[in-house]
Amino acid sequence: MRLRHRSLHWCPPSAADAARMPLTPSEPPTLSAVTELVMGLMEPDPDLARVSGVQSADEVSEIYAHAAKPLIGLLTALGGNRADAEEVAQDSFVRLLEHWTKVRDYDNPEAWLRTVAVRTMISRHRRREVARRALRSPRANDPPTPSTDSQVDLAEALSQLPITHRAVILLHYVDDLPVDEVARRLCIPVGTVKSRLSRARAALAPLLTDEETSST
Amino acid sequence: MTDLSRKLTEHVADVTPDAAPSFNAVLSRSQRRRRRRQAGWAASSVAVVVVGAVGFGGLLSVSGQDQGTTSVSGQDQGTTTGPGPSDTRHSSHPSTQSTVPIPPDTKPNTPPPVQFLAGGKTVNIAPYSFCWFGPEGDGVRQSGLCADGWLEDKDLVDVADRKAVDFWFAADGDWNFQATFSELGEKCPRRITVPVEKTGEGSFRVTPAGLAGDYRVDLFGRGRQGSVGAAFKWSTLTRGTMPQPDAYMGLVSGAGGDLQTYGLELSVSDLAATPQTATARVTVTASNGRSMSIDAHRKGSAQNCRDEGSVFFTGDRPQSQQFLALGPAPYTYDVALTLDGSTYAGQGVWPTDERKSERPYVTLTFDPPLPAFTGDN
Repeated sequence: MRLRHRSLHWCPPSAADAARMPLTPSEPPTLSAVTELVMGLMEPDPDLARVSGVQSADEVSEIYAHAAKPLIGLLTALGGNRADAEEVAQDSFVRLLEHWTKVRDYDNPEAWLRTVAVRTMISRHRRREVARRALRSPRANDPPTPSTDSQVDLAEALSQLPITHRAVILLHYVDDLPVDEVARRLCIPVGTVKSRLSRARAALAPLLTDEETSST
Repeated sequence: MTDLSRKLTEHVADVTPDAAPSFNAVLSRSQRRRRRRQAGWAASSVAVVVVGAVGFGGLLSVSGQDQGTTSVSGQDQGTTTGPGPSDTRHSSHPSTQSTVPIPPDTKPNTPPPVQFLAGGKTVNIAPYSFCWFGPEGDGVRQSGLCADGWLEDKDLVDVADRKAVDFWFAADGDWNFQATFSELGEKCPRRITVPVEKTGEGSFRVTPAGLAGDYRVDLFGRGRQGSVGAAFKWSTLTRGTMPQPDAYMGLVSGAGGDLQTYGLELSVSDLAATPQTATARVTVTASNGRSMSIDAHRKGSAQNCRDEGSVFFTGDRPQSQQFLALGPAPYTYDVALTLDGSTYAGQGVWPTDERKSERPYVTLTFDPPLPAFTGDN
């Protein structure tokens, strides 16, 4: 049985995100639903009991079979850490499982899954960053000096970027999302996406080989 | 062919594991979570990590759960009768004040609420999403908290039908806000982003945007202490700032000192309406007069919801790469944009028209002008 959509909302607002490809579950607003997800504090979907848990698990496991690995890859590139990526990916699948009665009707449940996962990773990283900054001396707070070595490893270069910039550039260039879609998924203004892309491109520019550059 | 997209995609592939953990791990995690909930372990406190002010003595506080629940959403907004400017309901000339007191119930290390007056009382709207850092200076290194959240439409605080929304934000320093209006009830609403007027120290005014109607208004503020997002519902009485069509194209970039391309992107927004059909042919001419044309592909029209009045195109990356071989900069971008049968000619020059903080995007100017949203069309 296909269940009817609820009207959900994700910031920034778009009713279509809810009706066509909603990116958020329907919990009451809280300080940080994403953070709650990580901590396991979200209330379960009340509709869950209306659909067999076994059936939900079977259907989600099918998605897991083909989506888990690439999701872990994306999250590893985003967060720079495989263990974190696996944990966040699993948390996101738990979330998907808990909300499957709604998400299964969306046009693109995997987009929902990846958005939840990316935001969760950003949230987790930000918390750690806050803690790390708090423990550092002011001198250590200085931004890292960008490498001038054109052969610098891409992973290293990515790690020099703020995670919010990494998310923008990965969603834009790997997930192939337009700027406004990235903005919608990350709940930030379009202009912010464009400026972050600009800075991220500039930071990664030394990595591009001679094949794709020409002298000015 | 190499480009940033390919490199990033390869990098993601490189770090993608050969095998994922068993799905049983997800099921186990789900069961553990359910058991924790049933046991009441989670209680109702909000899980955030708060790092308190760190002086030379070290970490003073760490756990957000120790901080208790923080009022954030529209559901939780408090009302006080604290000091504040006069109620500006139906007033176009609200008073302002030089300093805004921080509400006494504001939690440490969290942003103050956005405040406005309603019915003679101060209404607090706590940000649903923020990154907030405390003071830096001698003896105090840094403190802060980040939280990502969202607010459903049904939980928005309704500021009713006032002519302008004046609000106050009790943060030090130079804060700037912008407001994004999204019409409520629309499937793919037009989103209109406008700057928020600063009317005094810590006081701001939002004026209507778009046609009169029921809107969700998302405030996005930045300042010395971080950034905040907050939202409210507003039924505007009058037509406000109408968006003008905006078009930009990205192709060639000079980042790193060498010319490079990240692929062609062409975005047009704030049109009168979303066109049923849209095509774009892009011609790039180098300074030596050599040129090349490609057809851009419209994206996202079928699968994803796009803002009303917007279209987005991309070009094949291998083809985009060939533009670099045309010759030296500057490059003139000519765009033949056809929207529902009407063709508009757009032009921009890289790097002359490059947007400073949005490199390598170039502003395109169209002739005839692109159809603007007026509410009458």
